[in-house]
Amino acid sequence: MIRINENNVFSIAIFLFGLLIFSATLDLRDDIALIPKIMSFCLVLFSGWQMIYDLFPTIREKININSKRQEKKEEFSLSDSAAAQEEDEIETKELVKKRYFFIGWMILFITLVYFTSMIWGILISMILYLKWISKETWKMTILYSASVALFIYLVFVVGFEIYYFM
Amino acid sequence: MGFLSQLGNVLQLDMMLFLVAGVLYGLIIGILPGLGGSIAMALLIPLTFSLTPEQAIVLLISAYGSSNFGGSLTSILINTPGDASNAATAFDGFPLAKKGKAGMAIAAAMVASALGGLIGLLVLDLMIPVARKLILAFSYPEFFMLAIFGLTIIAVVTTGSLFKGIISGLIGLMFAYIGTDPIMGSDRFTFGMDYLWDGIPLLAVIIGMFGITEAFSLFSQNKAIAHDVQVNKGGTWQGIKSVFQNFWLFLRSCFIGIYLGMIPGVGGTVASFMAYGTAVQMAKDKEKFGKGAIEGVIAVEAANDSKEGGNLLPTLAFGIPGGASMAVLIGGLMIHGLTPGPDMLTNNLDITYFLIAAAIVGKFVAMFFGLLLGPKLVFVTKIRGSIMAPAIITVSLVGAYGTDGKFGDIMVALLFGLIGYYMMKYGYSRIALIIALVLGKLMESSYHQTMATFGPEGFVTRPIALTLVVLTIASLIWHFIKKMKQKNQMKGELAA
Repeated sequence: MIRINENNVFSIAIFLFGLLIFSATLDLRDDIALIPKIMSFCLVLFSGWQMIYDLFPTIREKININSKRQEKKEEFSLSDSAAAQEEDEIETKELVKKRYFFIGWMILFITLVYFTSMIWGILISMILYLKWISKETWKMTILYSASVALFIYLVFVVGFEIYYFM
Repeated sequence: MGFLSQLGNVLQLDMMLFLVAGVLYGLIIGILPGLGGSIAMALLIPLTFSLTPEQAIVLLISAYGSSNFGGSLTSILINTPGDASNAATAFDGFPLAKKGKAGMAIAAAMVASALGGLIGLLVLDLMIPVARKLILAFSYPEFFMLAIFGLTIIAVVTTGSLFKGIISGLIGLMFAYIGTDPIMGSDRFTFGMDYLWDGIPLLAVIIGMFGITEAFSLFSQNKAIAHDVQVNKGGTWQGIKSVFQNFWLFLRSCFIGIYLGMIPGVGGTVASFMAYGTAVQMAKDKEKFGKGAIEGVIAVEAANDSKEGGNLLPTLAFGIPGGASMAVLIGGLMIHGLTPGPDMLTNNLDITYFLIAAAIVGKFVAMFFGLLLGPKLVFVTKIRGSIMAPAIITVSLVGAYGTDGKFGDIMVALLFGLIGYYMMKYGYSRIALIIALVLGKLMESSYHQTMATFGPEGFVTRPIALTLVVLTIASLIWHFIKKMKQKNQMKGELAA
């Protein structure tokens, strides 16, 4: 049975990254891309095994049963994954939601930087974060956001004349 | 000691005022993520036009020398390195802050930096006449073996699953190979993106992997950095003492820094990572590294500052800049009619010794301010996580963007922040990834250069390369023997 959670998605992403780089090395000459070829092949191999291990709990259990030495499991088997799987299961939906909210806020931050400027991006995103994510008071929100934005403005724009911050 | 003849000139009131101003400015620049010694000097050069060459030297060299002090403060306190060369300080400095020992880590970093800088500059003073031979002893096979030796650190510094540590290292290598290949100069793994032609920006990756990941974790837990421990406010003396208690480690790291600093193109980042790796490899208790070992901080900081002495050697003696900072320094000196090269060792020898004297005094002034201000910043480790998180994100993104003004750098920092968070969550090693990213390019380019210049026998016929091969194999075997012994011991205890 396949189990899908954040840990497995991360393992799949690493495997796909390895596969992408390895496939890109196939077009390159052997003599000039020898090291990337070898290393990306190793990455595909290792991350592929890790992915299978994470995706199929039955395989993991079999390996763990077959492995007689507990300490060996800790050293070279993949026992961290088992711990991570368990951690995933006990992680509440609230925490996961909170985390995605934070990722969303960071994406909003860089979107604001792209469409306005670094200083305005800092000011707006800090206000949004402090008021709606961290649930701080208005006084704290305004003071903290304005102080950080002003500090960055004074140091980088006024002090170092970095034009692209405005 | 030629610099002693110039010490009196540096200690004059007007020079000392320039020196203190340069040190304070360098400390602030160092604290700001993304801005390092080269930027500190580049921004100062226009201000030196109206100054005498001596005043300009004092201002530039003190700002450059103290920027590293500031960078280590943020590495220790908020896991956000000021510059790429400060990244390895965070490996053990930040875990120490989490244990409530930020004051001790800062003090150790400041003293190791100042004394490391002093040793580097003293060696520079002594080495000027015999520099050439030493620089030429290191060639491509030695660089390749040095990179391989560095990569074996991954096996040692990985805590938890070694298998995942190897995967992390391989990911780091893959990121290192993005950009242009070292032989033909053609692009590879760029997937049609012009931005990737220069490779993945190291500083943005480091800022993301450490700063943003930490902010993420602070936000998730909503706890302060040192949340469940009493912050040790009296750690300054302990930190100072620790440098002298680990004096051989300190001295060894200094010489690694000096030697790698002398070799143009290797860079301070490699020097600090190599010093860290050697400290781990040669320690009796390797397990404590990455979890808050003061030795990790001392080794990195000593190498980081002592490399300046090494860096100055080819710069002053041959006019060959060891790195970006030295290229800026050459520019600054040339504006004042001083051309680095043989001229600096003949006609302008006094100026050369003056520069060394100013750098030495600058190190101690920087240490004074670092010890005065640094421990006072420890309070940040007690601020609530949800309040610290946006500030760290802001400072990190500003640092990533401020260096080159490329929007892509912000994206890279954010992406690696997320990757770092999931790596941390699922037991992958961020340190292994960074080590491989730093050493990957050096390993590949030196491999091809060796094959082209010496052929495959170059790896095993040159004495220094051969020594490094032996050291690499021996350190790996020793690590695994020790692991086996520990397992057997544990097994015995369980059976009993």
